Amino acid sequence: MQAVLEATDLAGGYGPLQVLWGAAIEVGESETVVLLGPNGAGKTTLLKTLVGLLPMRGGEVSFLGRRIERLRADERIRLGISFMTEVGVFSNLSVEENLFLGGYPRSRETIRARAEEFLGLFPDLAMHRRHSAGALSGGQRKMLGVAKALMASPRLVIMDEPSSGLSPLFVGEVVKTLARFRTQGVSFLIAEQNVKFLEIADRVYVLDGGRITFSGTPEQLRADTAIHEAYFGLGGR
Amino acid sequence: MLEFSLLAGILFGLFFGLVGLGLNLIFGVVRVVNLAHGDFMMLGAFGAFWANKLLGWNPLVTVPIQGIAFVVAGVVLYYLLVPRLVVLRDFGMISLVLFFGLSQVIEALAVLAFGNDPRSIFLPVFGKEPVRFLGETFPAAWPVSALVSVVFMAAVYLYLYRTRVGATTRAVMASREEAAASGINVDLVSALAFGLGLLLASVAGMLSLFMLGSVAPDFGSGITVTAFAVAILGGLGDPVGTVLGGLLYGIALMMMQSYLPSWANVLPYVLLVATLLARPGGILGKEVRHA
Repeated sequence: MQAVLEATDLAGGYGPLQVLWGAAIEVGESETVVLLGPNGAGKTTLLKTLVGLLPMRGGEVSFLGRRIERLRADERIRLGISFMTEVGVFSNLSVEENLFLGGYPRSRETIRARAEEFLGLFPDLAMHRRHSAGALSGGQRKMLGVAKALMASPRLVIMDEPSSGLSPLFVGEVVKTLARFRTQGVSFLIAEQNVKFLEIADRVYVLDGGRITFSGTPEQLRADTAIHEAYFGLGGR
Repeated sequence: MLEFSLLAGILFGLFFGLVGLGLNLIFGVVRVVNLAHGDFMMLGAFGAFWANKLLGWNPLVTVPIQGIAFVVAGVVLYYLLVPRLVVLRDFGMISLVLFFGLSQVIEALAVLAFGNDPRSIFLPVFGKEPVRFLGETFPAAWPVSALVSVVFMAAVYLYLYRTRVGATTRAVMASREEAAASGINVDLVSALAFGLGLLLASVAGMLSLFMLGSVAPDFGSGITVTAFAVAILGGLGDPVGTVLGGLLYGIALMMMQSYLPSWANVLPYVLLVATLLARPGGILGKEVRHA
């Protein structure tokens, strides 16, 4: 399988604080990879370093075979990477404006057509299309974040904790929505604490203390009782 | 006297809206309080003055020429100063000190270049006859200045709400990180906003020659406080609210000058403190932006 994203020996952090220590991660074509880890493990730092929102201190990052570590964040995004931050939307802009900005690098006509497509897929968003994103419920905001992230027809969508702040019911909705798009040739890299996302994962990484401590399939992870107990307290199964 | 104060307050308020607009646009996008804002106004005023004195140009003719120069200067200045500061932890404080220093440098260079004398342009340059409006009489320069201010405020509104680059500017104002994550070149958008902020300062500076009488090299620090008061009044980081802030400030100033003239100079400071204490988000009560 061709790697869409490949990062090796990644080091990064904030100011004098180093958070990532030689992390390596790979996402294949049409693959959904979940990056699990407890709070403070370095998940957000890893994602932001991959997309260029944080400076790299070492390592290599390739996207579709091209080295991208010297590119700015906006240049990486324009290559076909989409990054949904934990907030995921511009709260004080309308639903429509959020969608338009999600498709920003594309032409006006493409953006309009794509926005209508998503508003058709998410009737809740269509009802509130002219309302501010900040006025939406937590679940609707996440759906808007997902739609915004997919607006530019990216090859890879990177998501930072799409379940954060959501009730279990809405987490299930987000997982269902992502399951719908993963069959359409989009690759996903999802940083999460919620094991519900393992339902749609092809492969899993576990990050702890800025280091990758596990890499394998969801089945292999479930079989690894020690990791389950250490990080998720689920008693293994 | 009340009618005159109110009408003059509106005319001056529109002008003060323009004075605060550039500062607030830059704050909203770049999150820097440009303490050199008034000094750029002073440079705009001196540009118009010398163009009038040496070439006989009407100050309005200098607007597009100075505008281009100030946008270019703003873009260059942004790339020279801001990107290397924005990554620092104490960005807010360091940028304050830096722009204060820049203000002092501009003022010192202006003194060296032009001397300390205040400069003004003969008032009837916009028309010899006073203008009658709703039964009151005003110098022609006042409504002309108010009209120019309205044109530029409307242009900023159209830029922000009717253009693609304006939408990206509002996105950067909302969240620099979210904007970068959406594929927006945050530095380019910010540099353009910085340039636009300086353009607005140059136009407001040119109009100051008529609305405030004269401009000297030390004009900057006082008018920066006024611009800051107007921005705070309308809501820091909210360019549209600045127009309302300017109107409130203008009307309050004219009322003070009519009824309590000896207290008028204290007004910007009083409004600044009172607004920060009572409504830190400005009159419109929007969320306060943090540098």
